[in-house]
Amino acid sequence: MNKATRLQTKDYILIGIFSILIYAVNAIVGSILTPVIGAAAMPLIAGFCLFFSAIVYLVMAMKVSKRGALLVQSIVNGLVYTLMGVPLMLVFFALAGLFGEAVLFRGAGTQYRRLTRQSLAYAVYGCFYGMGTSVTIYVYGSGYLSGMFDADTLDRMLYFAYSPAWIAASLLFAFGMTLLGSGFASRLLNKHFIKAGVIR
Amino acid sequence: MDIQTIIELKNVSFQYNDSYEQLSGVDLSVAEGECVVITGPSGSGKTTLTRMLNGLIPNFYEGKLTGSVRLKGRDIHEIEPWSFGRTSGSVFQDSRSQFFTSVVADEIAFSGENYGLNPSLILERVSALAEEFRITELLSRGLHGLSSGEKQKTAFASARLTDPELFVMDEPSANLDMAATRELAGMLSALKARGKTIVIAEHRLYYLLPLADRIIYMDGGQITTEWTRAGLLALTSRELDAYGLRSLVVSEGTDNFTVRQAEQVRRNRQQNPEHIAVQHANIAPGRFKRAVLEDQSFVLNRGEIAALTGPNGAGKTTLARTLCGLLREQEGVIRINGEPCKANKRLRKMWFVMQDSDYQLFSDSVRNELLMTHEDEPDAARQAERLLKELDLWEYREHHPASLSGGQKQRLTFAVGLMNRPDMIILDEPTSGLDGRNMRRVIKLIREMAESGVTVLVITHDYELVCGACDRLLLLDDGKLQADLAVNSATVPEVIRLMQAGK
Amino acid sequence: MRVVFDPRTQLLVVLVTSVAVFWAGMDKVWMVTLFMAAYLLVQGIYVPVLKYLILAALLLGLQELLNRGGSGALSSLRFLNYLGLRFMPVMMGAGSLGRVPSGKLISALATLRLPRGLLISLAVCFRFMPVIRLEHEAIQVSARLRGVSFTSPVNWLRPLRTYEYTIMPLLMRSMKISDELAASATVKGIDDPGPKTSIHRIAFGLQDYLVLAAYACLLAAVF
Repeated sequence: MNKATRLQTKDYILIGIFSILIYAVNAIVGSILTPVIGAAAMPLIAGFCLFFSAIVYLVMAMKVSKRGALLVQSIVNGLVYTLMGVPLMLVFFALAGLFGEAVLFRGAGTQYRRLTRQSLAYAVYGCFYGMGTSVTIYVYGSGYLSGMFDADTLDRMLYFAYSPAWIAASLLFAFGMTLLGSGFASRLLNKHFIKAGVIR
Repeated sequence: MDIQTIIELKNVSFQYNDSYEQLSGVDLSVAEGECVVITGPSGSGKTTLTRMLNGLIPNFYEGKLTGSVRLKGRDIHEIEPWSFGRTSGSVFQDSRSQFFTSVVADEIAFSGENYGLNPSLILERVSALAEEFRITELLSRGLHGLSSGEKQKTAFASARLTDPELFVMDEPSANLDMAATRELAGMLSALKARGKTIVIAEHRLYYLLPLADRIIYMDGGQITTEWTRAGLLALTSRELDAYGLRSLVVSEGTDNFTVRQAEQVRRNRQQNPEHIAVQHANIAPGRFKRAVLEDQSFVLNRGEIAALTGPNGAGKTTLARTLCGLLREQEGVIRINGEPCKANKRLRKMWFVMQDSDYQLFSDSVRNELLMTHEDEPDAARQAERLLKELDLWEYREHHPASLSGGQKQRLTFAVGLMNRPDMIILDEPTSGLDGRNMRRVIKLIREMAESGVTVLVITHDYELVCGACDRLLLLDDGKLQADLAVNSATVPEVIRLMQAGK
Repeated sequence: MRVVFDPRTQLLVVLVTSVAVFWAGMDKVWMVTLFMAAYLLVQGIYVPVLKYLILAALLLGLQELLNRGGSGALSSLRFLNYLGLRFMPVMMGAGSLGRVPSGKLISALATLRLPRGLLISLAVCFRFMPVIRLEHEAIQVSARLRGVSFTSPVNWLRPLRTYEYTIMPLLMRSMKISDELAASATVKGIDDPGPKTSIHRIAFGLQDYLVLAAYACLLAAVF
């Protein structure tokens, strides 16, 4: 692989900065929605986060346009979570990155500039990211019921909010929201970044 | 002993891949130990030239390079892209983006670590450099909270770590106040005393003149003139203006062309009615924070142009934000045209032009930027057209703001503010990093705004701007308004003395 | 006396804790929490430990209260409370890790043979966390001046447009910063393929072995 296809220092730097931005957008949207939608619909929050972070990812992806950008971004994010004490997310992030890259794999190199392909990749990534947050809470919350001496039906419902069935539903939601977010993002990309010439 | 030629450019032309800027047919030869200053209008190719000396061209900024560039006898194409740092140390303009690490010591050590130098050697050099620059207490501090002078020292120390022979700098004094600029000049003379070669691209020449062996003038990608120190000083003010250069000496007398020009236009605005009045105000950066200014009062008359200066951290920006209504005054009253005006009302009546226009432009075209929040005003379109034409931006009306040059973005932010028909406009360092020609353009704009009845407050360290445009100087220091004097030819020496004080 | 642990030890502690809190019975989590408190105290971290312990006590009290209540509406609060208690030791460990200067942390990660490019991205991440916040604030100041920021409720009616005004300048600035930073790093030899050194000495000391052994013992007691 030559310079044009291999990630260079300036790409790694861009990815580092944008990973923080993606993390920040996800965290802010998450913290606004959590008190509003509450623990009951927590698996859905990821979808909203992805809607808003799609533009950040797409700007980064279009600027770097190389194999590995999505994977590096996801691993960096996963490492940040690990350092904060949630290493389980790293597994999901890595998977998310790998599957996302798989979507982008086929092609001669120009596919990295195709908005549709990148949006699809991020949507696939989004599913795993959503799964990651739900599963993490599911895992840590799994002792919940056993700690209760009187299992209220609502509590049980709450617990099952994290059940596999729900998680599957929230995956679809995450996927859909990411695509919507990418649609919104592509409008912004054209209106601003491509017009200003910072991205071709 | 033979003096080496450190830099040799022969018939060098360069065109960026994705930009219009270029160099054409540049010849330059710099000997060891020389200090060469490169100046000229914005866009003339100064930065491009400096980039050839530290490897950024052609390795980082891609483009078409013809001609031969040799550093210490070696063609730059033969030098590996990453080893330039061993022979040239670079200091850039923007401290926010030139630091890779978060701590002073780490930053100074950075290049050493990259080149795999022995850690004890690196540590030795780091402490030696810190001592020389008097920043030893700052070594474990975060880069984040340092003053711009301290940041510049860190950048300087960082460039010196590998002990290179050549130093390349691009407008190192852009964000510094006069005192820090003096310190920068000191660091540069120390370098010169060690026999290092220095190449600096700069607009502000006054602090470099004692050090410069040659001053090179570039225009349109070519070197058009070259002076010695004496030769440059011999230029008359009118010639300086024609070259678009800033003044060469901090003038104590009245033979500064800009100041004299201003005299002719300046009127005694003290006779105008009172416009903005601050009465016994306590100003703080937040509702529960400690006040930076206590019990201050002053009055600005309509159409007055006042300069606000003082050391960094004295509260100039906080005062400006409070006047604009972004912050609430803790105590006291602020009146506009005699009526007390609360913070949220002031927000609509004032405008703040920041130092960096990138933070203030939101829209996708120049015209839309002006029309953005005036959608329900019937004659907004007509007013926008008038403003854009006046400010030379009409032909760019469909362009995206991010594609404009720095000066154009600045004028756009002026236009955006004027659309609101504000009572007062506050400008934060409008001329830092501007060349002489653009600085005079800003002065002209400020005067025109004042003529139309807008009161202007300028936060600045630029003495040329103060003498050229302002009627009054307000000095903030130690929580108080220390000085409030009129600016005219008689008071220029005092004005300059106050601005040079600093911390 | 302040003990300084190798960053790798701290990382190990965080990782082990995150697994331990998942597996331990709810009645044993307090033991881990206390260990973490001691772990922080030994490093000279006093005030935050107090805050953590007070918070833990509050959550425990809340837990008891909610258990008795049993009302449906409070069930999400109960759940969050439960998560909080279980996660507390991990937060404490992460708090300790977060105090390691970023340069030292990156050097430690380098000894773990993480790929160079990844370390660059991570280093930039740490470096820019505070900067992004400042940039955002500066943009919000302008947005308020223009009347398009989130602080003004009317803008919540057009959330997409307001989001555009919030994120767009931030992305433009980030791209510009990224370019300039890359230029600066290049000029300082970041691409040099040779081995890199560090002014931080990363080596295990007696204190690291001791704390890991103590932790192992505690965990044996817990399970």
